[in-house]
Amino acid sequence: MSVIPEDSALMLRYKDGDVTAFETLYRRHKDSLYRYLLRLSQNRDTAEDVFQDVWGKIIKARHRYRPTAKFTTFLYRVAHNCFIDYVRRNNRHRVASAMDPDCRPDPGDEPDLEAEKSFARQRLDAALGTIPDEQRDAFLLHEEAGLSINTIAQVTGVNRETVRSRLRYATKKLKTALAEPAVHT
Amino acid sequence: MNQDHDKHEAIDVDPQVSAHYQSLADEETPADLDDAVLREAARAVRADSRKGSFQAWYRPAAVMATVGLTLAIILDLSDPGIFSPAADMSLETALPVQTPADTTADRGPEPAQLLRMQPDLAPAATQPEGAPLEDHTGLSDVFTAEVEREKQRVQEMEAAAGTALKPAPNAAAKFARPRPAIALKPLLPEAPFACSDEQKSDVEEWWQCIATLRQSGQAAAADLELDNFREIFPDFELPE
Repeated sequence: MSVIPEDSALMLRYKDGDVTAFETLYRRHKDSLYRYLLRLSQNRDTAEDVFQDVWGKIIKARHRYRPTAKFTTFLYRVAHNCFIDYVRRNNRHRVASAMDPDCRPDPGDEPDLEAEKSFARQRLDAALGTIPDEQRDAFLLHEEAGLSINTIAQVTGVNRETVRSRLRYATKKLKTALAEPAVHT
Repeated sequence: MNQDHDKHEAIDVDPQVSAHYQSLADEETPADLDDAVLREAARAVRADSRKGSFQAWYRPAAVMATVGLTLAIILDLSDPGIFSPAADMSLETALPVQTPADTTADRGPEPAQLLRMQPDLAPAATQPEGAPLEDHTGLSDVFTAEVEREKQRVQEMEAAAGTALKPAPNAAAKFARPRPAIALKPLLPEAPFACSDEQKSDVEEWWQCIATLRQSGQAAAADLELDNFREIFPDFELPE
């Protein structure tokens, strides 16, 4: 039975020049980070730009990395800050094409099921688009990154009660939006 | 997902909403993005290893160069030939040497320069005036003659000016020799300290000499001569 190395241990190995350790670390976190950025920005190009920027910063920061906190906290703090920087640089990111089919898995043998799923995803993305950025950010950090309230507070730089409030409002609005009758176009 | 969630925190997110979201969250990172990131990570490590291999040789090389340079400077400074008079002389003797024929027409090198060229003359110059200079160095007589000529020239200048010449500070240090005390002479017609035997052979001339001594302020000498005069010529009638 092999022991799964900790993220911090992988990062330290990469710091010492082990590229395969970084590859393991990257494959472990890449999809959830990508989805976080995709849903947060609601734009595929923006998500890809910020995604590359985030990993570039992680690579550059390897010499300064100290395993004082969980790697996910470090990774999503960088991602959160990169996204805010990106929005500030571009005044306002373009909101479009979040449902780009390129980033979906292969439909496979069940096209009807996949079409239904695609429609449900459109509704989810539309519902996420209706809630404020801060609430969406807190919700995505909770769902995609699996961060605790305390960690979300650290990443976003607000106190714990603010995070709880944002999560509560985000969940309530999403539940309402998703409960509305679906309109097929 | 949600590996960091606490049980009590789950109440902030509706389980149905969370489950619905998780069922639809299946987007994957594009392959070209994966390639770009992994390529960058590998390139960064390669750059590190290049930098590391460069540091592996340039630091020892820098240390070796520093040690070598320090040793070279220490050995160079401890070499007695650099600041010794011999080295100084070797530079000076590289200059064209003037022949005695040339020096008669030319003023020749300065005394200080001469002594630098012939450093062993300095102790010899401290010998009493008139004592022959010993040739410790075995250098040609040209330099000795030049020194003598220079000394004579200085004495002439002192005599002409009626005062002792003050040499330049550097020359004074190198041209160290005891100078005879030169008495300040009055700028009056030269007066004898005593009458000569020739003057004493004639009574009139002796008396004139005594009068000259008295006029020149040498009263003691005049009185002495007058006593001698009276002894020899007791019958001479002295004028008032």
